[in-house]
Amino acid sequence: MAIKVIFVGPMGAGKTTAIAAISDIPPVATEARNHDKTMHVKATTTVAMDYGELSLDDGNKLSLYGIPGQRQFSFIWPIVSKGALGGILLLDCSMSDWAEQFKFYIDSFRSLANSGAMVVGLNRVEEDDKETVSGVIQDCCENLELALPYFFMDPRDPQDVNLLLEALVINAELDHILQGE
Amino acid sequence: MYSIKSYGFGPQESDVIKKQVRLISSRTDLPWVYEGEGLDGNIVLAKQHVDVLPGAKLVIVGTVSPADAKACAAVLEYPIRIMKFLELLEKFAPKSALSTAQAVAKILEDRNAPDLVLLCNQVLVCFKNGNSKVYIEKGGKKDIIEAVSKTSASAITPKNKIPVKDTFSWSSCISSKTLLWSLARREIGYAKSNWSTDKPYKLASWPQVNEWEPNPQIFKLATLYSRQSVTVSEAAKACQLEEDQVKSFLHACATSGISVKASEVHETALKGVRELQNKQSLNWLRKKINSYFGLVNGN
Amino acid sequence: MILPAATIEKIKEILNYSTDIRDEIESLLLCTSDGHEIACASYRGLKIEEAKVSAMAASFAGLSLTIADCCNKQDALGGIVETKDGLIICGLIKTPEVDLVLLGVFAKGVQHGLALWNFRNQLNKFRSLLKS
Repeated sequence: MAIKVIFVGPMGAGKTTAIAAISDIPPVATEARNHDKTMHVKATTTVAMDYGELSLDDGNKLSLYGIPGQRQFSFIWPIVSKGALGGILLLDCSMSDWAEQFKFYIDSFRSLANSGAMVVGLNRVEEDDKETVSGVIQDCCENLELALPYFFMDPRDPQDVNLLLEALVINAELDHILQGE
Repeated sequence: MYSIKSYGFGPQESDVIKKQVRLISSRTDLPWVYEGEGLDGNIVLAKQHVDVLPGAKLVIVGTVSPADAKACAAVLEYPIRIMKFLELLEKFAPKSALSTAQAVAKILEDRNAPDLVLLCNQVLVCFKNGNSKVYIEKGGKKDIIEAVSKTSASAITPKNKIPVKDTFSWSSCISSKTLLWSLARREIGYAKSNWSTDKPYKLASWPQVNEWEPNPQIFKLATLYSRQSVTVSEAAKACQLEEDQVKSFLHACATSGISVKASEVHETALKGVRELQNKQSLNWLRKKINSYFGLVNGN
Repeated sequence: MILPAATIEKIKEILNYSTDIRDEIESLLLCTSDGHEIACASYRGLKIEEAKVSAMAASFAGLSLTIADCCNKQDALGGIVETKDGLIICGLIKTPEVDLVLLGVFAKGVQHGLALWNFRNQLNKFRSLLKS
């Protein structure tokens, strides 16, 4: 049996990087040349999905799926996210529209967010800006009536990515505990 | 300051009370002090003198008849036991009073206010509103928490501002949120009397516990209260914690600027069960990702 | 703009011409490899959702390459979707400046060989155009 976790977020947020940071296998990517430099300056972009996995000692595995971040690929999001234990929303906070992107992706994956199975990784936040970014996230969450866990992180750092997974594990454990009551 | 006075005690007995208050005051949220014999304290410990001051602030020390006990706020055995004395002071703490953490939160609320330097437990502490940091004259981060926590709420006010030179050098600093969280987490007595055990609460936003207090149980509490409204007793059960710890967590969240909403709705039932849920695999996964909390299973 | 306006006009001409004279071609769509539509032509007013299909074509082409790679097959040319109502073929056009995806929708009953021959002809036309 595979447990599935999806990485979502806009183009250039670090989804492919985060999967590569923790995957046991060389990640499978569907990268194509990026022609829309107004969106992001990076050379390539994901067009279908990224895939990585963690093998667990009990024979099961954790499948890591990354969605393509550009909105024209939204048709594939429900296909990729089907049956996911949880979602990790990554945002590049150096982009001026990151708060808008946050709302957009929460709306797009509302069922995961509503059940608490979504955590947010905030990438590229300067130490001095953390307070402000926190304030913006908190306001957004209060407006959406959600209190999503959010963490300042670097998608290149496996420990940071693992912390996001840990938050999903705790949420799943709580499901288990409350289910038993 | 909140004063305790005694009535009808000898000099040696007064001295014992004085020492007891000094010992207890470091563990109470309000700054209680013993001010000798008299009847004008916030609490008056009277040695079996019911007649002098019947009412809310009278505490009779010693054995009394049931009829006399009705005329006073409480009865303490003689000699006074420390734990009973502590309970009494917590009971007498005015509900509306701010705790130290709340007093700090109040002065940090206005981000445009000028920097404020206060004398906290004999060291200078600077509350810089512009960058949401709190500085100490000498010592490290822990010393900031220590110094502020030992300062009464009434002393943490712009009225007590100490003028310092612009060039004053500060040895260490801490983020205001971390300070507020740490201070509030120490105020278990205050939390205990201000949060209900049976009322469901829910957090309006995520408290950054991974930065403020990396601990699996606290992380679990934060996750639980972020996703649904639960009572303190339910949360304590789910996270295997004492109820007082849960109350202290809620108090710390509220003090750190996280809105804690009381709700009439119970949400202990699951909203939806996902099919791919396997506890064994979750445990393996926790091992695999080399848990942030050092493989401590919070379950 | 990814390509010069004159090139896009030329592409449109080729697409319109091909769908007009070839009965077996229902639609031809050219988009960038990251899913942005460039031009589309359909036979006798047939309609496809161009923006959506462009994104899907790019995903399909990207997946085709990745699947081929994972199966130790190098230099994938594209992919085929077989349906009861005909074939859908998608192929990659790589140039130093731009990577494009061509999607061809073929009518019911068209033989695979003919459809593939036709589709490759179209690919070659665009390669030549982009080279020039």
